[in-house]
Amino acid sequence: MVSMAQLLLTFLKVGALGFGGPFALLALLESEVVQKRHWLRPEEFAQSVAIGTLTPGPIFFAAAVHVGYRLRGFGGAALAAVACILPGFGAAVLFAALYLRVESLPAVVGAASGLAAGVTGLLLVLAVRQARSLARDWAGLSLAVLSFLALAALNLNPVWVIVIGALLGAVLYRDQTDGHGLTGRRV
Amino acid sequence: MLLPLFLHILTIGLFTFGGGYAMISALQQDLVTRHGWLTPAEFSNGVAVGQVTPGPLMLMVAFLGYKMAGFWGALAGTVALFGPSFVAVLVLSRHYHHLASSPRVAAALKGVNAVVVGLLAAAAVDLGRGTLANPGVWAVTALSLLLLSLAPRRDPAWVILGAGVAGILFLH
Repeated sequence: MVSMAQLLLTFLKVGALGFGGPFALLALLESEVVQKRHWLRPEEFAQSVAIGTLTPGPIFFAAAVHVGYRLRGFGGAALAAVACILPGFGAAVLFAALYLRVESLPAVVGAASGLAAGVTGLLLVLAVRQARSLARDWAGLSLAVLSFLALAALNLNPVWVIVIGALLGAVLYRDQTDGHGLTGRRV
Repeated sequence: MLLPLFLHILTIGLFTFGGGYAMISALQQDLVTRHGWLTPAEFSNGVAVGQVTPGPLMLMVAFLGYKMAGFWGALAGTVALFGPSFVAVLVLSRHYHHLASSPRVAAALKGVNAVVVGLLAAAAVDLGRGTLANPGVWAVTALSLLLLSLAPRRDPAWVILGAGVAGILFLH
């Protein structure tokens, strides 16, 4: 059985060295627990990632918690959760504390407008990239436009938009999933 | 500030399916656009901090929480955002096979996938509305847009950081 100490070190390592967004983090976790240490088989890891898409919140985090749970039960899940966010949490708090001291410096104000410009660009690119998955899906495109209007014009709470999207999706796509679930198996 | 911060981020943590980028947009819409607790510039700093710190991008809530209510704000924001995901994994892992093979669940997630497009676009528009004040910022946005679409596999952190450096040099 995998020891708690090994589990702690592995997740601390992923949490401290994992840069570059959700896919990079999942790839790093996979290389640690599947390829290097052989704690899980590839299909078991794929199941943890699938659980990440079925649960709210960051997909990498949920996958990490599930890997911890599979290896050492509740304790393993808790350890994985804390260890994979602790290094980044410390760094973010440090950045925030420094930021409060320098936020009115001209260079920091300049950096903030540059960063805002970059983030605006990033969100637009992500919106377009995600919209491509809706090509010729008229129901999906209408949902996307309606949710944009609900948020931009009506200032609706984003949580409602997501919940309503899930409910409408369950109705609109009912016949299109052909009785297949996420795993593509027939029920 | 601590309690509203905790409750608002907890609601987002509970209901935002669709991964980290959907969460960034939901946080922007709720904390910046609807309530004005953070300025667009502060929020963008948070996104940048999430990019340059290791671990999940969503640790940006630690930065946002700290800005709103100090260290306890950082802790409350982090627990509120990641807590629901933790509990959901423990609860759902027992029902994994049932959920993963359910066409209803797959259909609902397709619906979420569609509204996330609108969510991302709304967050981008609101952020842009708050910050696109002069031609310099427009130029940096356009350049980031170009670089990000030309190199989709590259870590976006490099472009975001580059935009920050351009800001230090040209935008104050």
